[in-house]
Amino acid sequence: MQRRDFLRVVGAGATVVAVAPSMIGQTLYADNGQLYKAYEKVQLVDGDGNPIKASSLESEKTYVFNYPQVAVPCFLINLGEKAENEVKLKSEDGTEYIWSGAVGKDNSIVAYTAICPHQLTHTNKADSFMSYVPRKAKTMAYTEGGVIICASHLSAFDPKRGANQLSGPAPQPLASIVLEHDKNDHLWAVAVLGQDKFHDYFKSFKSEFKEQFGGKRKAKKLVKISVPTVAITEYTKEVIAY
Amino acid sequence: MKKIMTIILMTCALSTGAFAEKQLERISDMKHMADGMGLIMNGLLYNYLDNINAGVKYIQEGVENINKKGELKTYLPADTAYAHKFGEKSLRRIMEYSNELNDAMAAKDYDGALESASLLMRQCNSCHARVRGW
Repeated sequence: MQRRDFLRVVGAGATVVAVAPSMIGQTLYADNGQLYKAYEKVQLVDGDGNPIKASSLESEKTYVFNYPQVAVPCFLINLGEKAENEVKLKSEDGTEYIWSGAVGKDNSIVAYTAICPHQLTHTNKADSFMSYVPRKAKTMAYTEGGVIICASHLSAFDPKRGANQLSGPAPQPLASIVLEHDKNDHLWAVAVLGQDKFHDYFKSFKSEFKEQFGGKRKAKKLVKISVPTVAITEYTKEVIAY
Repeated sequence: MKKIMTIILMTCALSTGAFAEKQLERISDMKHMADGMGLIMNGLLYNYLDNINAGVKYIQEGVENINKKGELKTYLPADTAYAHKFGEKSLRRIMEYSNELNDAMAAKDYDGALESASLLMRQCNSCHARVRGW
């Protein structure tokens, strides 16, 4: 490596750490750098605009927020038990990356995009075929609860291990939302880790975006400053889980 | 006793008949939609607008027929009847994509039309994969 290249790499690294402090507290790594995309740091707030406290999240209850774009649904779940650290995941194209994205006092709070990487089934205002199945509940998609499922083709993902795929046709993990937990117990979304499929998603549901957001362009608008985070039963009319 | 047996047998025969009729109707609707998909593919391949329009019409007629018959649950095979919500959603998406295909053709947006046709095909297969257990 030439000196100029070396300085460039060091400079870029320092910039990343300065812009995204989450890089210090959590190990997030993607070998081509393309599976980690930083977006505007956005605070998670409740329906009244008050910051959400991590300690107030109910165990195993699914909350929904939109990030990084207004039409991208994401799950926020307090798993009620510690998530694993340094989980090695592999995207559909074979790129490997490391997930350690759980935050909170007990390292149990995780966030993932609620878009299935198989055929882009997603949570929207009308219904949600994506859902978290609590540990004591049963699902057709997997042998046990404590998993995120897609009820369209019965894929299951492990939220404790970076939403790695456990069963079904999904070819890769759910993309995860990188969270920051500050000293005031507030939560912030700062980046997306993993192959996100947003491009295909925005191409595939034009009519839905028109109906719910007034068009594809408006649906792609980036979320800024804060984002309402509500229980899935408030966000969507019907949760469909088998 | 004889009367009761006769009533039971009659009820069984009628319900079996009704089920068989539903099965035939389903096959007929699916064939109508498959013919529509064939017309769309043919129309796109040969740039023949009439075939595309006819194909969209066939598909939408098929969807309307299924919707008219009400609860999809009674219409799906017993072992996959639980997937009726997904079937209903698939029908809504098929309507959306076929409308988008029509709109794209009207706007002479041929790339958009191809995209809508492939989404339409994917949605058909997405449901088949689920209810036919591919």
